[in-house]
Amino acid sequence: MTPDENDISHKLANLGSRVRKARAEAGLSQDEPAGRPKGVHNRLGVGLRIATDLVVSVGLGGALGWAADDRWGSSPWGLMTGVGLGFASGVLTVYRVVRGIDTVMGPSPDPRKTAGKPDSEPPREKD
Amino acid sequence: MSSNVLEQFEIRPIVPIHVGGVDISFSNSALYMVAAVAVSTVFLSAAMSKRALIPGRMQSLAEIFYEFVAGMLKDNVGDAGRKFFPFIFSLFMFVLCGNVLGQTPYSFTFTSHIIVNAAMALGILALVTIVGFAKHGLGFLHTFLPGGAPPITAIVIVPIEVFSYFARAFSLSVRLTANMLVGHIMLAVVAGFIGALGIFGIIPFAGVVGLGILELGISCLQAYIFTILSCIYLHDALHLH
Repeated sequence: MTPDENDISHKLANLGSRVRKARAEAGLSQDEPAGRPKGVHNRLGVGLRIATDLVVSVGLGGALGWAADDRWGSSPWGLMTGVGLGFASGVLTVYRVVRGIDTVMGPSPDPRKTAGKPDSEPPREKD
Repeated sequence: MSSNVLEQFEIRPIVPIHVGGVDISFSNSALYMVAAVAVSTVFLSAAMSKRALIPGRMQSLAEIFYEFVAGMLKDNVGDAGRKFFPFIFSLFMFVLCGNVLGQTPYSFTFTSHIIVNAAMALGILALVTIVGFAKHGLGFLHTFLPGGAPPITAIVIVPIEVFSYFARAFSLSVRLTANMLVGHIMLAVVAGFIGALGIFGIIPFAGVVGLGILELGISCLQAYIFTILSCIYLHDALHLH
């Protein structure tokens, strides 16, 4: 990050804590509203996402393999490799999405690796 | 009533333009893209023109969009994603307006064409790759070989990772296209029964009303999914796993 951005982040964090403090003092502390719709959307998004991810991966792999066979006359090896590659990558994607469902969507970082990383994300605040 | 349910997806040139043998005619697809940009621009700037401290109805609506995308970016990319807000927000508004405008009868849905979505998805892929290399240099290549794996397994892992990296752009565009295409075909098929069944046409008519509401929901949901996945890809490029 450039010094400029650091400054902005710092200012924003400062402002956030000041607003929170002022709210608490005024008795306006906003508790997390029960059942935020965001969570539901996220789950629905995951469900709709993984189905297409798997199908598209296999389809794309198969299509590329087929095209390779057609071009170089390597039938059936291109198709077989393509479908295998597509399936492996589809399963990998689905596995990552499902494993990351409790933290963020997408590939979840390895907790052992990110623990000592200065770059790892700060714990998310509830706003 | 058209008997052909696929007629609605036909691209017709409105202003034919041919440059050096390349057809770059202004088509109905382009018209609706311009409309989507115009609608989002006019809506947002009109809603925010007052800049009231206590927002009115329209301003609240505009702020909801803003906060929705800002929250999505914060949750999925983190603070580093703040500078991508203009891009992600424009993307979301463009896809959303395209999907929702397409729901109006007799209109054209440009997001039902895979080439449009593929262009957007490839743009996102290119952006993510550039961002990844700009931030991590050649270290970005570690995306394709996660640490901790024995070197010999690279023969298997690297092709799979590379494939899934590029397949993401493909699945991003296929997902949006398939959802919009299927919804519109379904609506057209069910609507086709209204005239054919005479008085009993009331049944498919009710179906069309229900499907229309469902499709409106799907339009918004797919715009959301398209955007959130772009956020996740950005996250992956910014924070190596």
